[in-house]
Amino acid sequence: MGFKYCFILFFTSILSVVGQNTYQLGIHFSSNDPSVFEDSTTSIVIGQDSTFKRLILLNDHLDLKLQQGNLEIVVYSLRLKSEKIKINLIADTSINILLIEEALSEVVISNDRNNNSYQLTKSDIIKLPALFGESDIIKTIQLAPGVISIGEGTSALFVRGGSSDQNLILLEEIPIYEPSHLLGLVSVFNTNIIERANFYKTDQPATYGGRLSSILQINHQKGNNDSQEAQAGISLLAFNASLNGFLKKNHLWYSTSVRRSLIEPYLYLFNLNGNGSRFMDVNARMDYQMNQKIRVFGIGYFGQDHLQLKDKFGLTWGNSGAQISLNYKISKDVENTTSLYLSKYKFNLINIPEEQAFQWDLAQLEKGIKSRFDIHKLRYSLSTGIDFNHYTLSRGTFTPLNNKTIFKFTSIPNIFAFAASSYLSAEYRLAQFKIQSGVRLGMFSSLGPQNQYDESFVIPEPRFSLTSQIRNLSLSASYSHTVQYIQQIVTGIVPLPISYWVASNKSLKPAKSHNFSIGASLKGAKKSKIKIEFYYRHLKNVTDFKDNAFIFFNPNINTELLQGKGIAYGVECSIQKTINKYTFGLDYTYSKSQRKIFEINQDQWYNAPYDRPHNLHLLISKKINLKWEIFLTWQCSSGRPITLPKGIFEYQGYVTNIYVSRNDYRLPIFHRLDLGVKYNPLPLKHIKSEWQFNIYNAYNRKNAFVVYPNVALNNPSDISLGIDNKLEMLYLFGIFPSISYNILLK
Amino acid sequence: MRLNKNTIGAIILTSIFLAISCTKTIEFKLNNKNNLVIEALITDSVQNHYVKVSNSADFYSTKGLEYISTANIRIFEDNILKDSFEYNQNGYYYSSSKWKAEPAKNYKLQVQVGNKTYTAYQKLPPQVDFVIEKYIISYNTRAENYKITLNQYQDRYFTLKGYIQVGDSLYKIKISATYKTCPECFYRLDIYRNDSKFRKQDVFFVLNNEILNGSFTDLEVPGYFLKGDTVSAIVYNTNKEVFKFYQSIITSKNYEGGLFSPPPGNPTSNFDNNEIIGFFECASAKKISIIIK
Repeated sequence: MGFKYCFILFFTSILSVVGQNTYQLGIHFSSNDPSVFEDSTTSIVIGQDSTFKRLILLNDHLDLKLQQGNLEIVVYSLRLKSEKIKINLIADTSINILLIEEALSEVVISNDRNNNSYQLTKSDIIKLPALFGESDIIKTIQLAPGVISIGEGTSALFVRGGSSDQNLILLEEIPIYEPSHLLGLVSVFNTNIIERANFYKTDQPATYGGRLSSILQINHQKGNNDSQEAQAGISLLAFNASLNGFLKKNHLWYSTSVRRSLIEPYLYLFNLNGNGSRFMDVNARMDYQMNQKIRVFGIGYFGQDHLQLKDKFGLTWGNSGAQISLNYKISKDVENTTSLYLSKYKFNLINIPEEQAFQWDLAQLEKGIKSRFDIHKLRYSLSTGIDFNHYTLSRGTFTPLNNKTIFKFTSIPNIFAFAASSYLSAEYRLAQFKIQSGVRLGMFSSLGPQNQYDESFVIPEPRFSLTSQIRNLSLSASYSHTVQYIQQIVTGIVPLPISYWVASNKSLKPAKSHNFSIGASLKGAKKSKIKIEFYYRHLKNVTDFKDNAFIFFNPNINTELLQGKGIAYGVECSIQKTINKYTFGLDYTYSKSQRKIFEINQDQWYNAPYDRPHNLHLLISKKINLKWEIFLTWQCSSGRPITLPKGIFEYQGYVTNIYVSRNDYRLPIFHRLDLGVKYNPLPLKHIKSEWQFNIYNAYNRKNAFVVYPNVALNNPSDISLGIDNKLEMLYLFGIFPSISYNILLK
Repeated sequence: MRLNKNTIGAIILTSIFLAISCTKTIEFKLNNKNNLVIEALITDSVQNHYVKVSNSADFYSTKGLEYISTANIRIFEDNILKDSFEYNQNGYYYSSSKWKAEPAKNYKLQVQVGNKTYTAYQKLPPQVDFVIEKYIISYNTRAENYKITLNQYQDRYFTLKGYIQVGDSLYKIKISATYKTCPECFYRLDIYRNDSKFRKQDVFFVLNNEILNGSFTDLEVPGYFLKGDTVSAIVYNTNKEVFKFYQSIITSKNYEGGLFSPPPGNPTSNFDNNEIIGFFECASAKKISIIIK
């Protein structure tokens, strides 16, 4: 099958003549095969004044702000022959481009396909049923092939057999160290501020580094140049409000959003005053187009959580970050983007009981500068740049809060580290082939508590991928070497707010991963698509804890860590099909992740704690009419590995468990059905609203979150009278209906 | 007075999850493994020292633990036979004579079970520097007001069930004490009501110097006491290996399935065989007693 398109250009309306030299160009695409909008294989190149801008076509509409003058628009796709149209832009303009299907007649070339990038827009995130009605990008990515969630209500990602700290999560260029609100129930990313997100699995381009398994880069929404917008939304968990518009049309735009939890009413309802939790986050972005060549933008983020258990403890944590970037178009093909950023994560734990009263404060800081040069040509593109990062990895201070407490003031000195990286990444298209190659050269120095030199590492990270398009069949192969110099000390299976990061040094070597993958995808008629990808990873210096490790506030944490090797391999399959108004998506991932570390598990291979071999995700959606849309998702996964006792023993009158091997049992199979209905009332002139009704865990499956031993004696005063031990399963959420409402005012 | 820092965060966060979650019993078929358990303690107090030998049991075992009564146990001081141990009951063996461990001497314990011999070595740590500055005995309440709570407390804290009767006047004790902190100071604390050892399912009292300030003020001793009761605290100064051994037991006992805690494992023994669970502990001990008047 193939396509040939023809353009039917309608200069439907000349909206207005505003601004000095910049006009709005709206392009509407229509096709009898809507899949061209959904698979990220179609791109648009806009040429003007010898400069080119490339955009991936993700839906049927594009809004662009362009300078007055002659434009050249080229549509590229896996299945489209490239052709050009020309426009003389002299006013705000809207055009329609119609894509017409016809029999396959020729081999076409993939220009913008990246098999390993998973792209999401705000609408992709909103449409899935969500816990408490709060849509969430992390929960959406947890449904992607190759991504595993450790359990319900968690925001950690486990990608292709990697641990949760092996993912770099960026808000533009700001790294977010703790992406969770409410211990993982929702992520820190307010969906309203998300323009789009790129998720790279192990085959990440050389422009990114620092983590072994994946990169998630979230683009903050830019301000609206057309009108002032106000948006508000409410779910069972939180409310949010956003403002989006311009201060000076075509020059200065802003976008800001705030979100606050709504948990207090529940606490009042259940008479739990004094206990509880709250979170809030604030996002802001400002863009300034100085002239045709220079654009400056800044981003700020602040988020905070607080947990309080009356008379027991209070825990406050949060991320904050800021970025300022300068984008400079050096010539028609070359541009430079330089960014300064700062990211801070801190927590504060207050223990209230008088005799144990203490306060634990910890803050870690990453600051950096990145400068990147991009060269865009029709056949190839090049990116090169340098990154400098400075880390302050705090272990915190421990402060007694009264005279009666048993604790003393203790402070563990900060660890400082410095990283510098340079990279070169190239993409070249030749006939049916697309070649991406690059290398990243990273240098990392651990400076120790008083900035004294500890250890340095210089490690090259080559990356290579090849994609070939033969008719509707796309084949790909890739290799990458990734290195990670800082690692998170996660006390359990779920990263907690009190988790912290440590730097590589003489005793803790950088983690390395050699990543291989091959894949194929086949497109059929009517939006059908089959994709399969195999991967294999060989990891060095993976870290795990010794048995019964002593972690909290341990100044010599390295003595509790062990390093060894790991392997991860698997296959990711996805099938998409549209029948009438139904869209079906079925993803299956087989993923195996094992480790071998001296002194753990009698030096034998053992399962990583997030090793869940079988993962099945089913999504069915139907657009009933313009107002109503329904969704269904069903997930089914192997249980994660757990460690269970192999017996009991008595010591000094206490009965406790015998543990022999690590992670050698599994939780029961996990499965859950979520249902969602979206209702869009017909928009009024200035108002557009949306209701979403969800049922989480529709058939009330009790999915085990953890299993723990409950050791009990028949008579606590006499062990010889018998034992009544049990294994208890803890599960989090039963059936949970929710509702959310969003309103947009223009 | 829970001083195990690993558990602080785990308890805090587990409590949150327990607040929003539900539990139910689940069955797993476990591949049980049996180990020999040796518990041995000698101190610098003149007394009959003990060694306890038992077998571990299956996790789902409904029977009591099996005690070994046929072990042959000897202790050597600087490689010269010091004493042998004789079986008493419930797996306990006591030294045949009263003696005390001496500073700077090396002790070797040999436990022979069947045709296998297990050996461990220890040295006596420095004297305990632990002083009770003051204590407060306060009348708390009469037992009838807390009938349900009392039953729980008797079960949880002391081995003597039914010791406190309805109508008894109950007392609480608060202790203020100082102790030396140093890199080599690792303390363990046992509390007794008369001859009954304080017990709570998940607690050993262990202290070290990393974040503790060397004192506590008006710290309430858990449990209730009656007039005439003798409340005793035995403080042991041990070494880092013993401290880690107890800490491992606490971590294993508090293991909540790995939600927030590190992976569990068996405590590291100082016996020369990986199959042994247990420790030969040599400690300086100090006993402090208070009578409720």
